[in-house]
Amino acid sequence: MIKQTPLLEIKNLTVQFHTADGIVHAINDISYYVNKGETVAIVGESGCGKSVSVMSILGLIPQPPGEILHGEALYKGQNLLSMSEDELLAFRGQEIGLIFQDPMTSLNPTLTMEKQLTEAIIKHKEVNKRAARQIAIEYLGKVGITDAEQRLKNYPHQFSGGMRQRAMIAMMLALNPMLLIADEPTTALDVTIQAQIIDLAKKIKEETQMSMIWITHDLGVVAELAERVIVMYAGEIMEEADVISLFHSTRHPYTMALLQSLPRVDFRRDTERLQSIPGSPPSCYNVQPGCPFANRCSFVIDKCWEKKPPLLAVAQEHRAACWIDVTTGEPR
Amino acid sequence: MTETQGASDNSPLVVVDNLFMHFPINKGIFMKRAVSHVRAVDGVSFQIRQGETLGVVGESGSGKTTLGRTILGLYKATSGQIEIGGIKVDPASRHQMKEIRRGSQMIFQDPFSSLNPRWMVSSIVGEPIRVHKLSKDRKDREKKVSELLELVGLSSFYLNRFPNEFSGGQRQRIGIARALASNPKFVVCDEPIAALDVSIQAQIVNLLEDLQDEFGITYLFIAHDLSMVRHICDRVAVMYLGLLMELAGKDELYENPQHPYTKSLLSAVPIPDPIATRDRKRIVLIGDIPSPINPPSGCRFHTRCPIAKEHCALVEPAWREIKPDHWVYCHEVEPKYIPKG
Repeated sequence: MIKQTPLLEIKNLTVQFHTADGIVHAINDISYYVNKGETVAIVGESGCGKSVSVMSILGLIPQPPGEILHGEALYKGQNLLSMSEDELLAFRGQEIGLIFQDPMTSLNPTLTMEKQLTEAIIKHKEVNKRAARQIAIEYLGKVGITDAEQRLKNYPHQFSGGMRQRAMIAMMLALNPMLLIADEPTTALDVTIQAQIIDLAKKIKEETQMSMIWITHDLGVVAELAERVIVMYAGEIMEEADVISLFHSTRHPYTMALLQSLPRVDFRRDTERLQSIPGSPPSCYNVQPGCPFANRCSFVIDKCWEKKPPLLAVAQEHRAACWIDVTTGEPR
Repeated sequence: MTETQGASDNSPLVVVDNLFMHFPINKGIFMKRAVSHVRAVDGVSFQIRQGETLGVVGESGSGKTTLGRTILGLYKATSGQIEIGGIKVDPASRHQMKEIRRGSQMIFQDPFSSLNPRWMVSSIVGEPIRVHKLSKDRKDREKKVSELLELVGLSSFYLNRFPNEFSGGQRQRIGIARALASNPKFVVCDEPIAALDVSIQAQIVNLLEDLQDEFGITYLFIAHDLSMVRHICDRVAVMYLGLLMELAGKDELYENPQHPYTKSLLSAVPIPDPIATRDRKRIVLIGDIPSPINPPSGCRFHTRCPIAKEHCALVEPAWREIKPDHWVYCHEVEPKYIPKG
């Protein structure tokens, strides 16, 4: 495969938050990339830094308390981190679209859907109100909201959760961004509505070749949608691979443990107990030397406590941060 | 727990018969009158056997939480009968309710709002013991609380701490310890793992199962995670708009679902395996769950049903047993049956 220049490339990003209780090391020196037309999933548990790793590059974390210590975020070769707020404004929406977990909090309850949907279109596309309204209706239809003309007169509370999320997606699509970032977009929704959103995302991908970053904690959603997966834990990238390798030739003990702890809807129960991961994720206040997963890992060796394993290639396009080769159980 | 164990004792512990729970929507400030009702639970009958885990699944707004709370007498049922261990649940009778509350407990979804932030763990877990006078004195109570904490995998060292000092998984353990404090026979688990991280969910599920094995507790397990329900439950009920759509043993329900709603619900669950995912056929339901204030006529699923016929909008299906221990609410499931009227 010829290595293409990625659409978005994050290099050595470190973000901290200064709080009353001390410094939170949200993400430590992470690097990743997103190619054009590619869907990348970032998975991890709450507090692992998966949202911060994306929000920080768009200037969406308040500073202070947040602080980007170092790093680069190259989007089409331009460093987003060195841009002013005004320059970033042009990128958000137009080039990079965002969808959040709870569409109720990202919509203004006192304005009609029409007002909110057309505002962004008028601003970014430089069209008049009537044209913007036509575009809004067209895209609402595309995401499966019937009777869009009438629906535009509604307020957000008159939409159901799934419809609000679809309306947000329609708004993003109307701006036709190159990259769509979705931060847990289906977490608050029922499985039946989640299935609708996943199918919609697949359809969009086929039609537009849009790149997507899908932030989630649900490995089922990852398996359905992603082409490449980044697994995060305690502010670090643990493993990165294409979706099939990640699920079928897993190389990091954390990913393995996560997959084993999941019951399957399509299998009979074959084990007495679920394989749970003992303990809980480490505190982000004081970072210990060594691997952050060491205290919960079943493969742990002495070296793990002393030195942090680097994220190294274990196969083609497959990186893992572990001192152990999990296929043999021997140190690498 | 294996399935054979769950089915070994067939006598029902909990009997729910034709249960209705309607919440009035009031209008007017001085002359409050009910203009309509939210029909949260709308005629549900089932039994839970001794020592088994019955799962209740459904979308949000299907009435599964209301069902759990009404069974424990937290709401006064509009009509219908509930019996737990032979005692009638009747919120009007204080004496009876005390008895019910000692023998039946609840574990809540949100480990953050279900614990009083001003109380220490010793008071939170000790309250049921105090209320039901299950200890001789204060010392005895503290000893019991320590035992409970150790039972759920927490150190008794935490007795004098406040809830904010714990993580979500630990708080859920405190909630479980509190539920167990009065030695209940029956526990309603209302989405006990929904607010927890994936790596913690398995810990809590294993704990719930260990406790069941040790004390023979019967669970009503309310959840929307169908994979976890398949793992933990013996039988599963599927709820939609206040009614049960299907009820069967778990492997029967997951491998041989009959109701079109169950089928689409199961097909919507993402499988954490990119290869298995590819060959799956998905039945995507159109639209959202209708309002429980004014549910659709006839079969209430007909507005979203992929196989709906004309009569489905007119005649309400019967709740019928199509084979032993497999109940369904649908005209179109074989053997077809359309009630007159």
